[in-house]
Amino acid sequence: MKSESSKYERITDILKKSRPVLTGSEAIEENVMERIRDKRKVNENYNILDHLFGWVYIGWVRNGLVAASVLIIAFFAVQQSIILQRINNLERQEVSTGPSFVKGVPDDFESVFMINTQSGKISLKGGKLSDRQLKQLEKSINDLQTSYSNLIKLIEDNPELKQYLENTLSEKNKKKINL
Amino acid sequence: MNSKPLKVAVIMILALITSCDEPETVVTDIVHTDGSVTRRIEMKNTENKFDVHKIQVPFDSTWIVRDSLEFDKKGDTTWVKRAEKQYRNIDEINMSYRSDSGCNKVVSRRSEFLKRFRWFNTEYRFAEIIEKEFAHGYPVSDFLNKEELAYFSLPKDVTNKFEKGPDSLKYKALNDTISSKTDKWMIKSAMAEWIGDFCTLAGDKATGDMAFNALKAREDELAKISMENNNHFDSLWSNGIILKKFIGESNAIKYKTEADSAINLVSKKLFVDFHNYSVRIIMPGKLIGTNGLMDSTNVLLWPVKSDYFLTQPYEMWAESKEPNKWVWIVSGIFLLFVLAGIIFKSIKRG
Repeated sequence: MKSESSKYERITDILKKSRPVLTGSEAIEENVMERIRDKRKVNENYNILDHLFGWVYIGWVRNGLVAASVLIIAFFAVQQSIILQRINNLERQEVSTGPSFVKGVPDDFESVFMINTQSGKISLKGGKLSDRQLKQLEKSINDLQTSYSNLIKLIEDNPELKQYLENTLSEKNKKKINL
Repeated sequence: MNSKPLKVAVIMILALITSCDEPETVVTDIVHTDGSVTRRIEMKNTENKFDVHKIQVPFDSTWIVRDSLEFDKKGDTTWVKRAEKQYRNIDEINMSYRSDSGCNKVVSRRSEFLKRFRWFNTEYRFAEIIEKEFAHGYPVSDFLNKEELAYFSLPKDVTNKFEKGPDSLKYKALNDTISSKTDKWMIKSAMAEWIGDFCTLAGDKATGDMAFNALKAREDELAKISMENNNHFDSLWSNGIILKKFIGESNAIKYKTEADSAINLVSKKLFVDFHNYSVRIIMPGKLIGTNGLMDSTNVLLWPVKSDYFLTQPYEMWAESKEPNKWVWIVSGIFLLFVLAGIIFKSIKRG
């Protein structure tokens, strides 16, 4: 019994004295440190995305959100198609209301003076007329209309003048046609 | 007996439409998203003569008024009076209608505004409604087909243009047909109204042959008698001939007071003191529906004539929509988020 224990002690002594020699300890250390860093990085990434998209791992939440998305898209498509159809119907029922007075609503309400000419509408936006100027204009138009009526009456009363004017006008028209 | 022949009524209505002495009036409602309405009145006349009491919509001293002058290439002068007022909401407009003392005070009018949130869009609906005059009349659509109805709803200047255009004969014939059919519609509706008013006035006294249902069953007969005697309706009614023909001599004598009162009521409704005008509505956002006339620039127009609200309420409505930008952004972000989640899951699995 004693000899067995002494043998065991001798063997352990020999083994203790013959330790393996560690080579490249720096490389091992670097390797270990790098692995620790990588693990931390993975853990950090996992936390943000997990918080953001954690719901994808919960079945009913995932299915619910997907269903809601599909419903939103379907609702959008249906609503837009209905609106487009209504707009198309409106375009089909377009009616020309002709040269109606109703189109003359100026955007700038303050600009009150408008003149219709052969070429279209001239709006004197910048030039507001005072009441006095408006009255003067009214008076001059009335005078002009009176003079015009007098001139027509004068022509009607004088057959020679009427004949002369008619001839002149017809010659003028002929020239236009020739041209 | 103050009733007038129906033909005269038609002539009177036409005369009112084509009247040159009255200014041509257009009322424009500019509807805003908050429900406020800017109302503009434009009156055009060949003379600088505008009677404030003859303005077709409620008008008071709070309006801003501007005068302007227009003249065409022929040198014809046109005077235009413009007035504008801002209404804070529909209630203000309706209140002004209720307290209206203008020339169209006899008719019952109101406005409606609806704002509906529809997720991607907000929809707006604005309507101007004139209540019907006859309680027992028939809709004009029962007498006119679709094409005739469309022509009947057109403004006078448009129909005039058609009747002077290349297809003038076709449109003149159409106009004649409409005129004849609307005469029948007016007479039949007037007689239906007379029966209703007569029974209301007679009350419990109207029994047997004179009860509402009995008279209603013979309505076509009364309409036929009236149409046949259209030219002398007034004198024939005054002499009791039409009434005797319809309800018999004894009933005609017995119910003369109620019958005359009823025809007077019908006349008042038929010859309602109404000054025609046109309504324009400008909606916020994109226009998506209307029952008005529309041109290529989305200008909406409704001619307003007493014929249009004789037997049916005349509703001038327009609908529009405006996109809710914040909803579009929120929905877009949500869809992207769900899509990203699905992609993330598939990457993780892979």
